[in-house]
Amino acid sequence: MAQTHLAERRNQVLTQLLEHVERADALLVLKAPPGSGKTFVTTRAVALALHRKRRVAVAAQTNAQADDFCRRMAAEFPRLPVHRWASAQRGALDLGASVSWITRTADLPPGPCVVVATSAKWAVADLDAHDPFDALFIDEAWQMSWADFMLLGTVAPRFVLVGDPGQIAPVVPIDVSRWQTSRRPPHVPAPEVILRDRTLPTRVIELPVSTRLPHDTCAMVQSFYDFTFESWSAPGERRVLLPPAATQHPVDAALALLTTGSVALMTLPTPPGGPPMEEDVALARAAADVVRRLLDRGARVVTEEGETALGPGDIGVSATHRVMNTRITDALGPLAAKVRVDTPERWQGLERKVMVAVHPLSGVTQPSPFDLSTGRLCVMASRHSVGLVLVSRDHVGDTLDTYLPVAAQALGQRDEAGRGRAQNLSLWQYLVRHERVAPMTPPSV
Amino acid sequence: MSRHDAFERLRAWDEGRAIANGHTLPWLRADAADRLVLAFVRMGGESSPWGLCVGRPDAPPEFFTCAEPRNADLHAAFVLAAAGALLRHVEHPSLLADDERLMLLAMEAPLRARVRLRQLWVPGPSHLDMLHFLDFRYTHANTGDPKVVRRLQALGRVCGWLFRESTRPGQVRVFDATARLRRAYTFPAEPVRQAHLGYLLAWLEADRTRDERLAEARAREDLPVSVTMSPEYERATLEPLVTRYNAAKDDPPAQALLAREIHDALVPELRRRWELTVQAMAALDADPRASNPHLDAVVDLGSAEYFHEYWKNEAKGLDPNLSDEQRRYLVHDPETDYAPARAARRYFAHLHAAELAAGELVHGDATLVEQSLDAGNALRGTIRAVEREAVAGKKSGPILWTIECSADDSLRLREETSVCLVGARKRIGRIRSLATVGAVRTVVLQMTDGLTKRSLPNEPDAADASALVGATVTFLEQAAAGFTQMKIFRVGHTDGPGAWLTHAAPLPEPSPPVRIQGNLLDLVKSLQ
Amino acid sequence: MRRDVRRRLEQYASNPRCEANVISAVHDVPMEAVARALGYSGAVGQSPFALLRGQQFERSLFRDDAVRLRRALITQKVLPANAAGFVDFRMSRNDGPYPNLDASRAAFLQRLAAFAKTVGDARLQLPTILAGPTLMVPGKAILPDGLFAIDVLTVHPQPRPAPIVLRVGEVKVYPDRGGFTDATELAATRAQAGLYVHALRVELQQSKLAQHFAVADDGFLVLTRPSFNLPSVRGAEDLQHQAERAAVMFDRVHRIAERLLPPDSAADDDIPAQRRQAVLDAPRQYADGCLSFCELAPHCQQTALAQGLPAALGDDLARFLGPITLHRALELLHGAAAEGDVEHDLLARIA
Repeated sequence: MAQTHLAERRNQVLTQLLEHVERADALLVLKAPPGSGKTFVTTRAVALALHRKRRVAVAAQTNAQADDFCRRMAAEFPRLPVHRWASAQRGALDLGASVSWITRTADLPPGPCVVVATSAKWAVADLDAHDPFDALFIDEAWQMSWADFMLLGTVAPRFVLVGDPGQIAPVVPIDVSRWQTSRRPPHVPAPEVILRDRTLPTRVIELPVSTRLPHDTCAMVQSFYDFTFESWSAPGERRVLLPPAATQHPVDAALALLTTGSVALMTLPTPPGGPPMEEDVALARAAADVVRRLLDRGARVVTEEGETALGPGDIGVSATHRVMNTRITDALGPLAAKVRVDTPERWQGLERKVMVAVHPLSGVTQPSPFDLSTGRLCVMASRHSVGLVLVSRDHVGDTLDTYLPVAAQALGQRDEAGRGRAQNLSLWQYLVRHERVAPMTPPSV
Repeated sequence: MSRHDAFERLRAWDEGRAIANGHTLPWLRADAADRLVLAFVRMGGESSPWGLCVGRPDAPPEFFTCAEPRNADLHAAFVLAAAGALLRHVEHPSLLADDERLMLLAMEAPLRARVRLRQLWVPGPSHLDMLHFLDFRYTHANTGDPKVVRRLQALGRVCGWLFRESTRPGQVRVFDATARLRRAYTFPAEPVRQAHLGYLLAWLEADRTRDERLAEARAREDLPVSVTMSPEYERATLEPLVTRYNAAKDDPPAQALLAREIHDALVPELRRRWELTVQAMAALDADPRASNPHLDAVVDLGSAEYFHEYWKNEAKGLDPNLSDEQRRYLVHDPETDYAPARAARRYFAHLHAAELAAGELVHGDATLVEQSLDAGNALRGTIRAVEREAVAGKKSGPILWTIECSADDSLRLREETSVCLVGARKRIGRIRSLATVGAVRTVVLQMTDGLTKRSLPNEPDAADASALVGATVTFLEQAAAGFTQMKIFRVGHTDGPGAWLTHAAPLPEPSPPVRIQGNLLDLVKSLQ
Repeated sequence: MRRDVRRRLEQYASNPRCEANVISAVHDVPMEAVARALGYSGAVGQSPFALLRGQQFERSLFRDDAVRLRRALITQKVLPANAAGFVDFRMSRNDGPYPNLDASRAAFLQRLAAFAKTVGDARLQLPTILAGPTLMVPGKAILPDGLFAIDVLTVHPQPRPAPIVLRVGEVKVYPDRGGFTDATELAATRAQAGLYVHALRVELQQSKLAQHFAVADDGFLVLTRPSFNLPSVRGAEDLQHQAERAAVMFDRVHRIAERLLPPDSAADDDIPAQRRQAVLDAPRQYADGCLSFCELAPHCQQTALAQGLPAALGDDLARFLGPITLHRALELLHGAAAEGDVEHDLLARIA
């Protein structure tokens, strides 16, 4: 039974967002945990704004995201016209009957409208000759630096910034010492800058329900967020069903855990001399074994929608090092054509029923601040709707326990290394505490 | 640590010497007349310099010291005496006749040509920090004889600009000799030891064994080269002199003699740092590698930065009719850019500089291409197909290249990234798709520029499958330098409707109160 | 008597992974003496000018009931605009009223107990700046007595039943250059401040005052304005994880404090050879940072080099090579066949 009582909370939050649009208030930051329906609520807010005869601009961070947003609008609000404004170099795409493709600034429509473009496109647009837009919605706003956000000040007087604060932070490729103590540091994600400034008339809304993540996964990834959210699914509602096996396999203990909860940590012993740092062939084979064994045993999944067979297309695999993804792909053999294997960066925005992920700290015995940053782990631990098997060498808990990072951040900044260690450790300890760890011995080499 | 850096450091240790990093050097050699070498020392615990040594590398340097750097007046007098060398080096407008200054302000090209290769060399990063401290101390100086204050402020500003310039990616104006040696060579030592210029130079000694170089490096390491002197030297030599100097405050002749003694005690410390810098410069000049052939754009950007970020403001600041507010706008705060627009503008300027330097220099140095591949900013593979895409209603569709690469290679490039061909940079494509199956990553490029033999006489036509299929090609990310440059200018627009938020303009009038009527959820549902 | 617990805490926090360093700090066996006995002369001494400046700066902050410090703390919103009151727990050699650390600690705890009993306006008007309060290292892990003074605490009273918030401040003489402020110095300072947060919490617990006080997870740094002798205060410094780090480190250090070393001599500069040897016999963990604080670092680096430990060529290389020695890495580069996953992985990464 889904947690339908949460529908009311979800509707309350959506209503708050719609009221914000209705009142034409100036600034809203919408924090959306994984699978919480941020596109769902954003499309509704945009639709309402257009219904109220407003000129609405929507900024996405990539063309693919802009296209997806248009498709969702076309599918859910087919009567509302949407303009996809893109570079002339891109060929026009069919994004739905209600979406028109425009490439010239001169083609921007007058009057009430919805125009969707990338942030980069809006940033360099010369809008002087056009009616001003009433509001700008920015998708994946945590991927946008404050400096880039500043360029959008020419678009509209009101802003709605939407995004997931737990995801992978954008790379800052230059030394930013000069601006670390600026009032509005240009390299910091725009929503962070806004939230730090208490003088701004900012309204913050947090989406309270993840429809994607199973109940116990929500509890596990909660430490990555500074607000709480719940799962749409009830405890134990989503699970993997495994028919009894005729033979034993080293990964079976981990798979058995998926029948009683959504997450399993399958560990391989760390070799006495230390683990391989990037290319860990045994670990790659173990990850592939999990996928193969799930399919060989005819696993089925139970969700609110009922029970279905688990197919290769329902499973995804993620590792941070490309070379590991290649080894996993090798180990999957013919299955590789049907099971997506990719880095967490590429998994952002996607989901599968079951995910197999190589723990980003497996093989890392002296973590750097970069290793400890939690964005990638957060993405890897939040792509599944039914089950997740984390695969790792067993040293990670000890490594995190032993390794105590110093706080060398710039003045006034958060101790991200210390925080990253604490969050990583918290997740590992959660799995140990809840008996979600199954050693794989011996490895299937 | 990148695999390149790890491999090279191991190799350097194995060979027992510093080994060349890259096929070229990413800066231009300059005549001695264009170079100024500057070294500092400071009193322990103090931020400002106690003495400095400055001069062209081909002539004896000048030494400036202060008997008691904690005395503000003495300190100001000492730096004032030294200011001329630095201000001359940057062609400070106050040193020019009015008509020349106005001419140069109107036509920037002659000045930019004059200073194009001006270089300031310092021994190491702590000496650059001294420029920053002088910026903090004197940019906002405000007490004393107005003429003196103006000159001290000018000194503070030039130090501030040089310090900021030293942090701009790819810059070729301010040379930290230690950093330049480390850029040019890989040394077989831990990074913290590589902070010592003398230590590095010992590894460059010819005809020595590893053990001999290591012993020499360790011996040189005992003599400090940062701005801080050995505590022992301070305790045994300088502290007694300073104590006697302060005690003799009622005896000016005795103080003068002690000031001389302090000066004499500081000179060898300064000289050693200055000479090491000149040695490092000479070692780099003698390196058989040429300068990167694609440096022009980088050097030109440096000249433009000099003019627009420094000289122009200095020239305008000489106008006695400027209001205080106008004058304030010409001055950068030593700590940070507090105004959001200025912070963002400079941030974009540094991003642009990084993109330009990376995008240009990589075409002149094969090692940089390999490093780009290592970092995932390039792709290398074999062309498997060249075809024209069929587009309904068009005679000829875009040219597509299908390239197969190893899936093991790191790749940060994504769909829609523009890439240019190594060896023929005008040939540009955009990544249409990326797909990995097993060990093979297939990249489809839509070729967008440099398609014909007319634009690239030495290359086959971009649609010539017979000439291209089977060839190994390397593509580099085509830095969207022009795009970032555009942002530098656009971020200054403070008049947009959202400027209240983006540019800290006054808050907009609140919207008239709206009464929420009916159920908005139902309303939205009805729109579906 | 060598008792400078604070300096030894700094030494300890600089490389807690090196057991030799920890023994030196915990049992008060100066590294300089150990290094000197091995023929190394280079003392990581301090500039006499820097020492003097540090003392003068700190004194200037607390002069006239800390008027200068208070102004800076109010400007940076560490304290509210109406903050008043100053209590001095410093020792007499630092211009304070107390003859030694024991007396300072007793007075501090007594005063905290009095603070805890206050109600109403008296509570809201508690003195807001406490200079040099003395604490004890948790579990007496730093021998002989583990007493040390911290720089400054600010007091943030709230009406009952809310606890009185104490906020740790650390005074340093190095300059505040905004984003260019030395990151290594900042890391060391925060490690120290985090340690004080933890020690203060334990002290409150042991004094049965914990329910009346809360030690803030954030603290403040008092640095100098570059080139001037004025304070530059930075508030909201995140110390939460550094306090946790200190708690973990003290847990580990107890084992070492419990180890029995041969007795010390009465003279400051006469370290018995057996005590020196105990340091030398302990496992050492050379790291890049050692050069900046440890007199034994050159010896450790040479030993590490001879043993082929990658850290001898840098922490970054050690991280890259993992368990593989320099000797073996070079053999692999010269074409030796890789054995085992770890070596295969290295070759794959470096190829």
